[in-house]
Amino acid sequence: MNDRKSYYIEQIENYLSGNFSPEEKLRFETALKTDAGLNEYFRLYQAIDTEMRETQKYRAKETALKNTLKKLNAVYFGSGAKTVPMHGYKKWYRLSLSAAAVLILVLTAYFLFFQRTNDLPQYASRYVKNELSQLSLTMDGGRDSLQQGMAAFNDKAYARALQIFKAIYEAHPENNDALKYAGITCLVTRDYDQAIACFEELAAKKGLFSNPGVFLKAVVLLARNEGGDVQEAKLLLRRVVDENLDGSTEAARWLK
Amino acid sequence: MQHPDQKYINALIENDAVMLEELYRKFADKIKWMIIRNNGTETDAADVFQEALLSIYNKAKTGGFELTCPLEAFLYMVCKNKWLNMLNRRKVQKVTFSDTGGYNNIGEDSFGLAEECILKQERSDLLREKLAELGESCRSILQLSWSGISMDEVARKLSVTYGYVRKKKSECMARLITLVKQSPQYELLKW
Repeated sequence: MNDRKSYYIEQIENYLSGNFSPEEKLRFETALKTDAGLNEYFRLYQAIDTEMRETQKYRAKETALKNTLKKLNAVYFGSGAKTVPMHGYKKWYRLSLSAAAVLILVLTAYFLFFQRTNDLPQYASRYVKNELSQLSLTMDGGRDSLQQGMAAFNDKAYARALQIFKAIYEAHPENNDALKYAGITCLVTRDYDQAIACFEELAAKKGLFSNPGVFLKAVVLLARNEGGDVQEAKLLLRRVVDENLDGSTEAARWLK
Repeated sequence: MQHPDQKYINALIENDAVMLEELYRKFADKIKWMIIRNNGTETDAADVFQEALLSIYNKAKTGGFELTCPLEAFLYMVCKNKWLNMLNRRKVQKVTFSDTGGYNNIGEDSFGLAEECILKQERSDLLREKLAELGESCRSILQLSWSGISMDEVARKLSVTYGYVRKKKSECMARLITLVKQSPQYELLKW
């Protein structure tokens, strides 16, 4: 059993380090679909790796913040500190609560019936900020040019990142990651037409283990938000959900 | 448009003592009142408040954290959930106080964000705990590998070969993952 665990980890690290040949990579990605144990280890490995890299990176800042909070805690939670209720119950306060409740009802109805479509660009904007503003480098970062492109992207050297991703993709049209990252770079630099072209090309590729092309095209359309973009994005998001494509969790949440 | 209380999130990220004092001045007493009213002590309240702020910081530090409701309501939710978790861990009678502090309409996004703050912090705490259970050599290799340097560099720093450090790291990660999976909290933390 321990041998199996170590074997899983070795395979995962080789995959994430880019040490696999295209055939080995495909075999690994197929195994991820069929071997539930490997899949669970893969998910957990990535979660731990991301969490601990963040912890290392922000360690000094967290310690400094803890010191500040400790001092403030001593002042505000000392024996002399008073406690006040969350809300008083004065008459005027009750009246204002009632008024607020009516206002909330009106606003809720408004948002439910009129604003749902307008939420989508906000979801997309938040998604770009949260999920696409940094690319996850693997532990052997710096060894291959894709990693160099990702590092340039993370340093906000977008022109250089795009140049690298494009060069990789031209030399290796099977390198779908380079195409995806080129699209993401165009998206964050608001070159929406180029981003759409990249994601359409990605979406058209068949037989990939992971293909977020359709979902990312929808994100670009929502980010651009020009005439008809949101409606087209909604159709794409519906397709992502119906066909259980990459991004289906987000798409389903956004369409609720 | 940014919520006006986003300034407090920025204060946590930047460790802005002046703004953080304002945060304490405005919200600490209210959270203390909520904890004490629900079987807690002032020390409990201090712990919950500090941990809640650290949880929010940990979620916000990498960017993209957008407050969509007043911090008072958000902090109340995080503190309440943390306090319930603490009470349940202490195995006192099952506590399910339904007090929402009057914040009933803060939106699904904010509920989700508050839950994610707590889960992220608990995952991080569990990882630190399990990492401490590994031997010194495992801890060194893993911590160096997470510090952003290449595995070549890790090998050089530890005066071992690249092949050894790669193999050892795989073994250490396998052990860490096993420890995490064996912990009772594993299933609850939504990895």
